[in-house]
Amino acid sequence: MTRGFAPEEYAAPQSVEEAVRLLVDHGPGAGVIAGGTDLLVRRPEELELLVDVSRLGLDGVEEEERGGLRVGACVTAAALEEDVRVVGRGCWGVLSEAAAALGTPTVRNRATLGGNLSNGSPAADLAVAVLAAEGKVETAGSGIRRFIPIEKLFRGPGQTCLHPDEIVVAVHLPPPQVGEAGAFLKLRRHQTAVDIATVSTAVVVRMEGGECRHARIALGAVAGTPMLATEAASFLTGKELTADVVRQAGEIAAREARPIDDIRASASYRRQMVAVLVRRALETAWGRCRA
Amino acid sequence: MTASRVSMVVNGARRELLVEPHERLVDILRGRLGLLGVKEGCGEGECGTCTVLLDGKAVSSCLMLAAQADGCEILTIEGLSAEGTLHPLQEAFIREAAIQCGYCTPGMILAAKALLDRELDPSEGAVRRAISGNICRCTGYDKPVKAILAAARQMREDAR
Repeated sequence: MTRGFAPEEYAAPQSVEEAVRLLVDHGPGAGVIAGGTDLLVRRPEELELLVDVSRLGLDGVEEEERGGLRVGACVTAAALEEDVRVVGRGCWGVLSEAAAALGTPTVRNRATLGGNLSNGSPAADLAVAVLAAEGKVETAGSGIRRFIPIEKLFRGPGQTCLHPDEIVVAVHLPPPQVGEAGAFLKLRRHQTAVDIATVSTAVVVRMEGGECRHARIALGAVAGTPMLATEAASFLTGKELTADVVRQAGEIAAREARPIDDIRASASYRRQMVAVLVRRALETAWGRCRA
Repeated sequence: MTASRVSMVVNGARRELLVEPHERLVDILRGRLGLLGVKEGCGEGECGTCTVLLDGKAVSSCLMLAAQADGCEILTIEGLSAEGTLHPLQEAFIREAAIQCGYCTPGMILAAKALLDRELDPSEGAVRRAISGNICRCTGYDKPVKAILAAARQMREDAR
């Protein structure tokens, strides 16, 4: 017989330290809730204690002294979508675009950046954007504070390197560079409806003297984790992003992808769509670099 | 099982309740406060019928714990009309025949209200986007969109 979703206790700590202590003291069976938009769909049976991290003051977005951006873990997708400091600002802009593509308006008003990362979904829109933007994830655990490069966070579907008593506190993005722009694209079964990605991509490119100096290409829903297409990105370095070059980069990214068949699409369709989406995203980002 | 004390303002009235850790906001709005205008369709945040306004923002009440509403202000469809006078959105939905079975209507009107509270002269695209999480299986969306734009016009006139 299944027990269903039946947590015995709900706690609303007032500080990060208190939240971590609650997780440590309870041990297995304790879990974190923020916006609830993933947790209350999955409704895990094993949860005994729900630690609400949505009241820890982690909902701020701050520009840092050295020009980077610190986005609190509980900043919602809706807030990211609209934040004028983030929209269209070099590598940061991909976060706003990805946030706008996440779920429905009611989900975006509750879903948080930290939750989107911690759940470890290979299709997570914000995770793909943070990967392209070269973000670092700041966490707090029992006696530790870590800054985890985003590419080290994910281990497999639904799995991250976070300890059970460790919570995401913020995401740090590097300063936007001159000549830098990004783009995020998401393919869904119905483009107007709520659905997780069949394939998604976020790209960030930096143009210098008409050539690409730096590129990051992140892919969603085509591997066990959100992934970087590193070969496709390095192929672009030193090149002008002509129609032919971006087409080739898309093809390289498609070869790097490791998709599977599932209810949304076949592996082979996903691979073909990686080529299309990466090409289009690079075209868009390159156009923005020149604008 | 440890219950949490929750204090919230629902449709203008202060409510103090003891809620259990597994209870969602939709559970107590419907089950305890009798606000049956809040529907539960999918229970997974995809259909929008459970939409309420939480501190002015449209949220799915099936995707948050009741305990998380502590200290918040909630508006359901029942709180939209004042002393028998319908809200311009409600009037417009009736006038434009934007209702058939009515199941999606409360959520759709509340999602529209959240938009109009921020932007009284929205584009049609903004209206469609605002209700993009509210699924209607009867009329389609043209009539609700028309009604929302008409309500916005009415509200702009009323504000003058």
